[in-house]
Amino acid sequence: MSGASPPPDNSLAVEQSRIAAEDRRRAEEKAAADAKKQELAGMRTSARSGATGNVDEYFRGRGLDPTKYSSSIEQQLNNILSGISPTDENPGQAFSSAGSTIYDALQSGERVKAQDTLNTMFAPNFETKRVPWTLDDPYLASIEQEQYTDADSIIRNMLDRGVLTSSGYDAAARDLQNQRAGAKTRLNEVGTGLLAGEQQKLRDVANTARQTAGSLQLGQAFDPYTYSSEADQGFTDFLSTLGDQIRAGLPGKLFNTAGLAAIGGAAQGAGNTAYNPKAASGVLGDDETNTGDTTEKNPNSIF
Amino acid sequence: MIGAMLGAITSLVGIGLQAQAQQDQLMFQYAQFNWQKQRAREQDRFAQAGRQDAYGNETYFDQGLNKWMTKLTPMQKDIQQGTEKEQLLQITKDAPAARKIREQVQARSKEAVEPYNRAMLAYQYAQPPSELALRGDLTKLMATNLMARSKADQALLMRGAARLGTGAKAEEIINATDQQLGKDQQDILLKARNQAVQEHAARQQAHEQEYGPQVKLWADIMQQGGNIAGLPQSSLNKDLGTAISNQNEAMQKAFAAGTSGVSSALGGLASAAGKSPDMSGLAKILASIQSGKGKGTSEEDQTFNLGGESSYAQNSPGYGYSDTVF
Repeated sequence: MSGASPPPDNSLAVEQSRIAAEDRRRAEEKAAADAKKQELAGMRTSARSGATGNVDEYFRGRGLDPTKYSSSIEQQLNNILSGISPTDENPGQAFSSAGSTIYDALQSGERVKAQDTLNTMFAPNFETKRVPWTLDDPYLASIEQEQYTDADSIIRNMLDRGVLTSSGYDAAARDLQNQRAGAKTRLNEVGTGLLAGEQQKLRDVANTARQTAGSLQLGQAFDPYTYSSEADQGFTDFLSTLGDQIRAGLPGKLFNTAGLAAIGGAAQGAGNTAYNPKAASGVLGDDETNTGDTTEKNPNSIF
Repeated sequence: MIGAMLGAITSLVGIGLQAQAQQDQLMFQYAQFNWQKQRAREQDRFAQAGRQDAYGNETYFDQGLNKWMTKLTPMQKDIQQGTEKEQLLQITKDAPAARKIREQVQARSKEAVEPYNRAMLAYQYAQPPSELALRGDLTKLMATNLMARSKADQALLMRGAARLGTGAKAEEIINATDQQLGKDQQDILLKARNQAVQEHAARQQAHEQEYGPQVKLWADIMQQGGNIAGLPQSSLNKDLGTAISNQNEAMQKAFAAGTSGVSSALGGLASAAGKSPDMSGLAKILASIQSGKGKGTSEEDQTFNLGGESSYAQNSPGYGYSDTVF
């Protein structure tokens, strides 16, 4: 009686076969992956090529010549391409809005450039540097002095004609001096208003320029010097008419001379000079000083 | 010698008793092992048992196919099909429709960028004039007006004076009107100041009212270009993931419970079967008999307690017995 022989041990062959099958599977998978990679790379290249044409078309649609911006367009498209994942199954999607994106980027760049130029021209507080608060000082001093001299000549005439004595004149002159502070304040008020108005005009020019620069369209010309010239011209005009503008703002007399004769009279005491209302008002001409026709004048005249 | 012989006999009797106890322990462990196996089988069976939910749907494990089966009631089947149909419609019809709307909203949102930019620029740079500039303008206007009126009055007075034969008073008239003009000038400066305050506030308010709503309007439209709430999305992966996870968890629990019971019972069985009676005491006694060196009673007595010192005592029936075992 012979026992059954054990089954042959072919486990090694089975294992080898399994490993070989596994290797084959891996090789097939790698080949498929490589092929897919190639396919996706081809799709990316194709999408990138097509994108140039699409972007050019977009620019032409906006009335622009794309060749003027070709360098920037190519650079932006390459940036988009470098950002696409090698495993992206739809690389064309990344370029779908490339036209508008590039247009917006270039337009934004133009705006920033224009605004930077304006910021140099119209630096912060440029208007107060161009039109400082002291710009009107010489004009104000001149007008004030001019008006003071006019008022002083009235009481000086009274002195010359004997209406006022020296002490009476001094009292009237003191009153005029006291009025100077108020006169200067009013002049300053008018001058400050005028300067502020000019500063506002300069600000308006700068702000208009900034609005234009901020809404600049790609391809639209922008000349910042137009605005700086406008500001310069406006300032020159303002400066040449500043004196007149101050006078226009203060058309009346800054000094009140109506009561000066009375003030002078009170200071000097009683005199022998006959009353002459013209002399009292301070407008008597030289030829009328001693005419002695006071009886012909109306002593109750309000003037 | 007789004492030693008696000690050996007693020791042999002890060993016999010990072997009997070991046999009993082995049987006990074997019974426990069998019981645990039975229990594990029951647990597996229980784990794979069909279950019904509140709606009458039945879930069961098909041994032949080795997979879980779900048998829905007719109504539940209709509901499921209806739900799936709705899901399909949501994904194939509603979602594309919603996407189209979203694209339109996005396009509108993009269109709003330029008007928003212009409104913002106007808000920033089309500011109303400063209060001081307004005051200057008002002063100039009032002064011009005052001068014109004053000069008109002056001309009227001079004409009247000429008609009355007092033309010589012209100089007085001019001086008086200029004095009055200067006096009135003080008033217009004050008026201009007060009016400038009011006008500046009014212009500021008008500026806010003009550009504030514009900025907000365009910003709102731009904001709408983001995601749209409630856009239908497929929940298939989530549902499948939950079902697989639940099933896996139930099977893992059932197998773990069955395996641990059988494993511990098998461990106990192996431990019981692997032990032999302790004969070291008997060997010592026999050795002392052969060498003829008798030992005192007190020494022989010590060997009597061998059975009591054995670890088998711990496994004897009644030791450490617990109701929870059975």
